[in-house]
Amino acid sequence: MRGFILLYIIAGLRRTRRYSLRHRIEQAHLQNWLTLCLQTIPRNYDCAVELLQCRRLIKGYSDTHARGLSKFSRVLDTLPLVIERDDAAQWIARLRDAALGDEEGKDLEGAIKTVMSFAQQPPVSS
Amino acid sequence: MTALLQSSAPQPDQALQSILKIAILAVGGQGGGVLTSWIEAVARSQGYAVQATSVAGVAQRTGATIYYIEMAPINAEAAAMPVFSLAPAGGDVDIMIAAEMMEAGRAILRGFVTPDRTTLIASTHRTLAVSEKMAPGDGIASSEEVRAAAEIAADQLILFDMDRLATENGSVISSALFGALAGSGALPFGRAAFEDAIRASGKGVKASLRPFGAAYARAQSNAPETTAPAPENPRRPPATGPTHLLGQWQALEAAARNLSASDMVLHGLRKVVGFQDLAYGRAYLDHLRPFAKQDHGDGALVEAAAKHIANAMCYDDIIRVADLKTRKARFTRIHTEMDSGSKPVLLTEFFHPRGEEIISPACRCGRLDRGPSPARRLD
Repeated sequence: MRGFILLYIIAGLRRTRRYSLRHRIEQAHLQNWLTLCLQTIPRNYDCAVELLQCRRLIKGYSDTHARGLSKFSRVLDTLPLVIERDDAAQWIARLRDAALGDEEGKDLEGAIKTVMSFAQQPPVSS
Repeated sequence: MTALLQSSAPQPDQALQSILKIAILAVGGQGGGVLTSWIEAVARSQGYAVQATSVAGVAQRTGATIYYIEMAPINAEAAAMPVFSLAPAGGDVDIMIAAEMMEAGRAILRGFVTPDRTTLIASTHRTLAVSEKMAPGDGIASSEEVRAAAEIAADQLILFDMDRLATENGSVISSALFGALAGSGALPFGRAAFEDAIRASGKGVKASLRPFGAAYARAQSNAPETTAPAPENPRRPPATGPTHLLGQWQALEAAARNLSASDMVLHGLRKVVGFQDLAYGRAYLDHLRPFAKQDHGDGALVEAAAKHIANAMCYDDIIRVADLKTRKARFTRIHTEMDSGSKPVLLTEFFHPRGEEIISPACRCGRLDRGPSPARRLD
């Protein structure tokens, strides 16, 4: 019963949520992501859709949330490497699926390395 | 020695062929034990010698329990009792009962289902395995593949959602499986003998006989499964509340509809407003607007934006977790599922937030990352 009273009190903090540090962090994160997506639309529409869907990587709370966040930012960080390519959308989707697929992130690591390897060479299309 | 064996090999003992072998794969809580005892009872009552064994799986959904039954008519001339095996062998099972779709798949993989003799009786419902839930993203295995394999592997196949049938008739799946077994005709006993076995057990007789009868009829007709009616988009009851708030909400709803025809926008709006308040819903629509404007008309962009912006705005902080854990609807659901009536239920909650998650909702100064962190002390 004592635990539940605590839960009710915490749930009541909802009204103060907007002023919390967590809210500020989340808002900044959201804004960065949306800005990136909006900038991508004119360059590659499909890629922007894929970028939006990358949000799937973030879920839960505690460790799950922290892990998701790091995967999310790693996938988004590779965007400059692929954005000039025709198949940029496929690459983002591939990276996202790799990140979703395994918990440790080894697949994602491998996929990013692949992207890095061809990113050194001139892009396929002009 | 070899010659001796060879000469006797082509002629197996007649008595061996009369042994009926039944294997049951059930998950914890499905009543596999009850089903086994019913089958034992019906066979004994018909003058059979029976032996039943079980190999326990791990609790709940990490593995299934295998029940194995062998039975043979007691021969008046042969005074000796038959010697039964303790565990099923691949290619040597007459009736395979699987209380869940993936268990049917597992039975096929293990070679318990063979086209020359096996009657496979399986329920098509799913109880997700731990490995399926662990996979990030969608880890659910394909039931269609199991169905296709079952059609090839089994001699006779009885496949329908026995869990739903049992629930609709107010009982658990074991009685439906028993009914399907009786209806399949794979055992040489009449319907009355099966029903007597249920009656003799003396527990929940009426509740068990109803799904038994329904499953019996279903197995007899062996009608192809009618596809489950798609869960109808439940008409949400219109929002209720103070008039001025209601007016604002309806304005928001209208704005969402203007933005896009996609249902996703409405779903997102509902979620966001439920998370915080109406102003937060307005912020959601503001975020969404530029995406709706630049959509190429296929709806892909606005749909993805509507879904993921809503999820991003409803981050899981401890306020949210506490809110969800203390909602009235949750307690109602728990009481219904426990079927507890007015009896009190003891709830134990498990969650383990990180230190910074406890502090950050309360912290207004934004200096968490500087200096010796109070979060670390909490951890």
